[in-house]
Amino acid sequence: MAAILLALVSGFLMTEEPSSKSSESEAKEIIRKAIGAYGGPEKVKKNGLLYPKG
Amino acid sequence: MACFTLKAKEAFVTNGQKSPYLLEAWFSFPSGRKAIYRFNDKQSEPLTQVLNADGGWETRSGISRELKENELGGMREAMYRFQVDTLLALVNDKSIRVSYIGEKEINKRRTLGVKVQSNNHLGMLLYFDGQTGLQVKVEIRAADPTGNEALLEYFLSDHKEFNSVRRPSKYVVFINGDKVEEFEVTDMEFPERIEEKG
Repeated sequence: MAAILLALVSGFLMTEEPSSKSSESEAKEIIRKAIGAYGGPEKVKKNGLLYPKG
Repeated sequence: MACFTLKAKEAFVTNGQKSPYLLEAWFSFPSGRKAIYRFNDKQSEPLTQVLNADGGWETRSGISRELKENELGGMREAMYRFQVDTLLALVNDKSIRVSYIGEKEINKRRTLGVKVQSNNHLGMLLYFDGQTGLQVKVEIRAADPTGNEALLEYFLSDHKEFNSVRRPSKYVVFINGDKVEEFEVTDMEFPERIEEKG
């Protein structure tokens, strides 16, 4: 079953989202609020949240 | 290297019928993952899948095989999704671009949408509860192998603390509006490192 779903998902090809009015600063404010809601940066770091490079 | 482990009760849904299983998984970013699926039916042996920087394989009932390139691609994309879920990457990693896309009502709640883009990965739309700030939904638009557009939707709910880290504990997955999977995280740990196992 897992293999079936993985195969399905892995078959997806990348598509470009339609462009929208970009507002990076507003987006980052929302994300920072979410990080706060999850307990703040220090706790969020525990969740492997640093996007480590390897 | 950051990592986490999780245990979950999951079920694939086909024509309204659930196929429950238990998942035990170890994630070591950016490319290490081991998952053991234990299906509830008595005929099925556990399925073990391993992904690392060099490739991946799976084994079941003593039979092993290397994963195909498209399967590896799907698993690596899933690893990227887990990393995006971690949020800090979205404000710290310059290779990931984010933009605000406006409000949307989801399950009668006002949410704020953020578009996430990164080279060589699928674009994602993340939605956060306008009041609590918690992430409640992920949308991914893609094309299936026949070229038809498909919409993947992940609904996140029941946020709980796991070892002092707050995380969604329930996920429901839809493809083109059809529920295909649901799972409930029952345990999550955040070790400094994960020892190589089997």
